[in-house]
Parts: sequence; structure tokens; C-alpha cells
Amino acid sequence: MLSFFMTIRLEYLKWLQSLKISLSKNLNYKINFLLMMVIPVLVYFAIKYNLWSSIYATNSAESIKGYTLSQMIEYQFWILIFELFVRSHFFSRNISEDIRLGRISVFLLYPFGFFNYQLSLFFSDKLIQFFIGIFSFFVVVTFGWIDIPSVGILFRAGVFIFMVSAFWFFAQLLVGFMAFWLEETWSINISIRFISAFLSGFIVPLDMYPEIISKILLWTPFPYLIYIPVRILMGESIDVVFSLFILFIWILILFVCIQLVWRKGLKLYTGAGI
Amino acid sequence: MIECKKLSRDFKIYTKKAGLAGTLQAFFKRTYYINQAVKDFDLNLDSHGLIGLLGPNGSGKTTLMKMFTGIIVPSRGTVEVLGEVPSKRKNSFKRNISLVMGNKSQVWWDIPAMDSFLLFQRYYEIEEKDFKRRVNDLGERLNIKSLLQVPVRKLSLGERMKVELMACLLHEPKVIFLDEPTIGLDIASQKNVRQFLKDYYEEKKPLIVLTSHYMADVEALCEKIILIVKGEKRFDGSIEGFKEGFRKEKTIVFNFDEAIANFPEKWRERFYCDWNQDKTQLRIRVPEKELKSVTVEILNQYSVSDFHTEKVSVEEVMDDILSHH
Repeated sequence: MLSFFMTIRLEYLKWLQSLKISLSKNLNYKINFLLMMVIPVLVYFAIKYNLWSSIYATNSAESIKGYTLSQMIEYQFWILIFELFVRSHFFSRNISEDIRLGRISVFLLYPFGFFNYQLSLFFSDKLIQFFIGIFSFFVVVTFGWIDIPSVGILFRAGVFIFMVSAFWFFAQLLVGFMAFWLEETWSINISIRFISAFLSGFIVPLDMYPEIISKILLWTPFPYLIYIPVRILMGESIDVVFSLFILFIWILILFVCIQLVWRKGLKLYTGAGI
Repeated sequence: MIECKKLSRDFKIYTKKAGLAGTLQAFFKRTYYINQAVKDFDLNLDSHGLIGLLGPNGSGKTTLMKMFTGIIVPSRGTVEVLGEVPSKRKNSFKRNISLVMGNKSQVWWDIPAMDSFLLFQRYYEIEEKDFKRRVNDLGERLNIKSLLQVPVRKLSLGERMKVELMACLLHEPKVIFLDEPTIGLDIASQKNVRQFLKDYYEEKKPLIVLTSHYMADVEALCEKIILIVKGEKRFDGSIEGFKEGFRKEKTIVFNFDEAIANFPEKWRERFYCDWNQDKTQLRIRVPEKELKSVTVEILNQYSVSDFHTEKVSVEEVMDDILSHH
């Protein structure tokens, strides 16, 4: 029993120290960090704000498919906040670079798995991201652009933030691992971002699409990455259990793929450059 | 401690012709060849010793190291280190080995070395008091105690190498692989690192396998040499055996009483002769079986004040081997 607790403690210390080191690594380049994490989100928001304002103005429409301009802007504000919490788009590039340049050799030597190390990197990323998210949330609320939702809704949104982050973590890991076979995974990454921007409701709310398309989409992971949680945050009643279940299944699928790809990839790994 | 049988590793190497046409062609049909980096390698090493792994560039030294440490998986054959299969990458195995790569950093670049060490302390489960003692001890011996708080990227190459060495010794591994530990270092730093390794070995008696292109490293440190050429083992034995086995010529140095003007053409053609400026000293390389006859002939013909045969260095032997490939 005692040795069991000792093992737990030792494992915990490994995680803690990994977390510390990646935090200090991330915070070493503060400006770079801010530019990467915050600026793109703001730029996207500004573009969409202008786009929708002019669409409503040129059509001189009160509402489009049930969305008034102010509802549309609220929707976009919630995306901004939600994205800040779950974003991790730079992750897979690092992994594929590590693989291509043979940097993962070092991690294969440590008695702490590469996967665990990535997970602790991810957690430290999330920790910083969390504070940026909270800060932005209060700014947006203070200006009265969105209302503070009820505790129940915030809790549900919290669960989504966790699940969506996990989904992106695994998806990015999987794309990163493609570097065992491909020279460059950057293009895959960009394609996924574009596709998910369209299918997740990042640009247009999904109920604006033809019904058949939005119905099919419900079986894919995409609506649960942005559209559904944002609708929940806006106070819509949505079947949370079903949504989380579908998302969970997709995370599971990704997880299994990662195991297979990692095992196969390591057999091909040549540890270039050492 | 290290045992491998018929260990082999192939690499598939894709080729592409230069230019846009080549790129297009490669897009539709990729051509490749198989490079056998290591071929049927047998080896058996004891639990301690200082072993030099020698061979020209691209001979498979590093590939061998990567298989010993479990970074890459062998294509065929078996390998066991400390009784375990490296490519299974068990933590119990990893805790007892370490690999220093002269051209690849293990410590984090952007943060002070001490931060990396603290991480390794956790990873390798080193007790607090052992950790403190080892950091102190190694830091003192390598003379880098004051540098441990400086971000690694600000250190000089020599300082960084010492930090790397320190990082890989903190957990007192039983088997240590050193891949070019003195690459790019100046003579003084090379000597420094060499002396440190020697002292460390004497004290802890681990198994150290070392590759280096500096034969002085090998000469100063290694008790045993393994030679690998084109992926195959060519020699495995003591350093003396290595010199004798591969060196078929000896160098004799003659000092003459007066300058020698007319040295016979027949020798100049057959043997490598090296004269000093005023032609009073000759270094001549002679095949072993002619050593006696040539020496006697020179002694008879000229007035020699002094002569001796020169000790062969590992470097010269390697020179010979490399010039035949």
C-alpha cells in the first residue's frame, strides 16, 4: 500500500515538473506567445464583424434565417471567447518538426513517455489559455456585449471546453504523427482548420445551412467543436448528453488511431540527424 | 551487458532527380534504394569497460547506438542491453542507460540547465540528497557550477557539452553511450572532457561505449576497440591488437651524422620516405617483413648516429583503413 502511494507521488512529481518546465518555456517568449494566441482570434473577429454588418446592411434585412444582426454579433462574440479557451493550433507543427528533425529521440530515452510529455505541454498551454479566456470573458461582459449565463450553463460550457480541448489535442497529435510518413504536415493542418471553420459553425451558424446538411453534420464531431457549445452559452436548450456522447466517441476513435499510428510510426523512425 | 546477434537495420532512402521535372516525377513514382546501415552485427560486451566504436562516416556507428538505446527498431536480429530489449523502451531499462549526442541537445535550450536537471531528477526518480550531492560533485569536476543558472543557449559549445555530460550522468547509469562527445571542441576542452571521463570511469566503473572522430579520444580512453565498416564488424578486441592487426607497416626513424644527398631510388619508390629539411633525419615506412633487411642495409651504408621504430597511433591505423575504402 505504501509503495503504491510512493509510486503515485513519484508520478505526480514527474508531471508537475514537466508542467513547470513547459510553462517557463512558453512564458520565455511572452510577446511571441501573445501574438500567436490572441491576435489571430481578434483579427478573425474583426473580419466577421464587418462582414456580417455589411451583409445585413446591403440586404436591409431585420433577420436572416432567424438571426438578427445583434444575435449574430453575440454568436460571434461567444465564438471569440470559446475559441480562446480551446485553441491549440500550433501544437501539431511542433510535433511534426520534432519528428522530422529527429528531436523525439531524446524523449524516447527519458523514463517518461513522449505522450505524457506532450500531455503536460498541452496542460500548461491550457492553463495559460484559461487565464487569457477568463480575462477576455470579463472584458466582453464589462462592455455589455454578452450577458453572463447561469451557473448551470457555465458548467455545461466548462465540460465542453474540456472535451473540445481533448478533441483538438488528439487531432493535432494525429496530424503531427503524420510526419513519420510525410515531409510536411502543415498543409493537412491548414486544410483541417478550413474544413472545421466551415463545418463547426465558426463562420456561419450551422442552422443556416440546408436542413439535410446540418442533420448529417450532427454525426460528425464538427458541430460540437463550436456551434453547439456556443448555442448552449447563448441560452438555447440542447441535448447535452447526446452531444457529449458523439464527441466522446470521436475522441475515442482519435485515441485509437493515435496509438496505432504512433506504434507504426516508431518502426519507421530513423532518428534523423543524430 | 550488451549482446547482439545478427543485428541488422535497413533504411529505405528515397531519391529525387534535381529540378522541377525530378520533383514531378517523384510525385507520381517515388524511387528508392535500400541502404543496409548495419549488417549481421554480433557483439558481446561485459558489464564495465571503456569501448571505442570506430568507423568512417556513414559506417553505421550511430545506427548501432540508436538500436542499443531503443531509439530505433532493428530490421532483423536481436539485441539485449542489461538483459532487456531496448526497443521495448521499458522505464526500468531507460533508468539505467544514457546517451550523449554531441550534436543534439538533451537539455532545454531556452532555460537554465538547472531547470532541466530538476526535471531529470523527477524523471529518473533521484533522491533529493543524492541529487544535490551529484550536482555539486559533477558541477565541481566539470567546472560549470556557476553556469547552471544561465539559459543554455547563452553557453559556449564547450560549456554546453559539459552540461550535456552532466545531465546524462545525474542518474548514474550503468551503461553510457557517448556519440562524439568532443565534437567541435577546442584542444583544451577536449582534454578536459577526456580527463573527466577517465576519472568518472575509474570511480564508477560503468560500461561506456564511445564513438569519436578524434583518435586522441580513443587512444587516451579506450581499452577495447570495435571497428565497423560499411555496416559490418571488422574488428573487436584490444587497442594493441587493433594496431597490430591492421598496421602492416612500421615507421623507422634514422638520424644521420651528415646530410644524405643520394638516397637510393629503389627505396624512394617503394616506401614512404619523409626527410627533414637538412636531410639528416629520415622517417621511412617499411612493411613488417622487410623491417630487418631495410634497417640492416641502411645501417651498413650510412653513418647512422641513432635510430628507432615509432609507436603507431590509432589515428595512423584508421588512416590506413580509411584509405583502403
